Amino acid sequence: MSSSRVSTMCRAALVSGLLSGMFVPLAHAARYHRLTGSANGTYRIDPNHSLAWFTIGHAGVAVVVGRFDKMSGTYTFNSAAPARDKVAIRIAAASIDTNFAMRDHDLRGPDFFNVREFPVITFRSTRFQPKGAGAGLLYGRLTLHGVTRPVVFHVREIGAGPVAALPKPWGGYLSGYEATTTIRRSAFGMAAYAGMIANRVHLHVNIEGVRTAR
Amino acid sequence: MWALLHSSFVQSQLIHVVLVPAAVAGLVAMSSRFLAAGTPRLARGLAGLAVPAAFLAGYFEAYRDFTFPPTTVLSWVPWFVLLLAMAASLRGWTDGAILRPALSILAAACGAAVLLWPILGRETFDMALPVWAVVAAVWSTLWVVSGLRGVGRPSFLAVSFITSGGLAVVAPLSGSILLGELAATLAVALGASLILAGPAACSLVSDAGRATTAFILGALLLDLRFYAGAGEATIGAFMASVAVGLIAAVAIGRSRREGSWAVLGSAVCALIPVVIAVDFAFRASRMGGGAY
Repeated sequence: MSSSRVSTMCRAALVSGLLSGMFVPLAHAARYHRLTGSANGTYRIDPNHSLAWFTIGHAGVAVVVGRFDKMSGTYTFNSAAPARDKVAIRIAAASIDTNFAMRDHDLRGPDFFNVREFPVITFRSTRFQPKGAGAGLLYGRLTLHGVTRPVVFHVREIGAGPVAALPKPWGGYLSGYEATTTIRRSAFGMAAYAGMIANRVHLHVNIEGVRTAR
Repeated sequence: MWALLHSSFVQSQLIHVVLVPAAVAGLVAMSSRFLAAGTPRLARGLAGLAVPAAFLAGYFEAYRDFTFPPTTVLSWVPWFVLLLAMAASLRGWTDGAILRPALSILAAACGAAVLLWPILGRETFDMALPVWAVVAAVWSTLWVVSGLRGVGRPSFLAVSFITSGGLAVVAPLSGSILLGELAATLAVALGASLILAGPAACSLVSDAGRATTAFILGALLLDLRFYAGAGEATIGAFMASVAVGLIAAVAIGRSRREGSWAVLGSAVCALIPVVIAVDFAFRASRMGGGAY
């Protein structure tokens, strides 16, 4: 091998090594990780990064999943004074989506959500009981189909911290939670098709909020 | 087909919608026949309550909402039925050419206002008033016509049976099995009363029976249109069914053909628009993808 060719190969190897070395710290910075900042503050629920969804048994053989596409609200979290914690959520009942237009039409009708009579589903918290770090029980009143009943959500904090990379209205100081509970639809006056559709409904709410006040 | 009968869902429907209302209607009808000899006045009053009693029993089985104050539109229906049955049963209250239609108009207007309030309450006055006025006018017109002397009680029974039976088929196809159940309950109540009372069926469709039947049919059609979203053509066909059936009854009565001809003629005339309504509903259902 000629000396010039060896020299070229060495230069190429050196440049490659230098370039690779530059990208290594960048690759480390791009790894996804949970933000662990303080979640204290008042937040506006970001509707584009939040979702209320549910699962319900069907025909005794499977589970159907549905979601509500329009949700809004606010929440306040204060780790030093849990009595000040508040959550208020509004969901447009007509935004229900179970991936089947005809079923969604019937769900909006008088047999189920009756959205022309009860267009809004609301939840208002009454108190939050911390249960360890980043988790707790959220007590409140759920109004669904014109009936208000007390419910308890199991809440878990996903993360909190500044996210400058997102433009407004999504960016800023954010926090996120997921909450789950189980209700009986008959308790809210929706008992239709009892033999075909389960009475127990598992509710899931995934929330991302943008802080509006500390 | 027979496999359907093994389904607990189908069995519960048969019990709630057919057996219970038929049993209650039969019980009241048989009780009135038993009392006819000794206390004819009580027997007549009891006979007139067969249809509303049977409907309320089926409503309890299918919906079970007797909350007061009512929380939903449908939960107003049993209270209206009770009130109308009591008001129409009072002798002297509904006698006369003025009081009876006045009660019908008042009941239709109040019923339309209460049942449409969740929707109209969110609109401006200028938008809500015409909607309420049209619904109340159509409902009260059909109600008053159904109470005319020219419309014989058996003909009224037949037209109501055909219309409610058709509604029981159309409502599930339009998105509400519940409304179909309630319509079927009314149809069974009317049919069972007719069969079990025999020649005395006329007495079963007294003022109480007419008033409650007219209210229930109107309320179910209103709910199907405004809350279940059934098409205007479908609802229009049902209203045409009632109108055509009642007009046919008056016309046949004036031609001095009474008895079975009047009943059959009015039933056939009422059936034609119902068949059209069922066809509309089937087409719409197939376009939507069928059952789920």
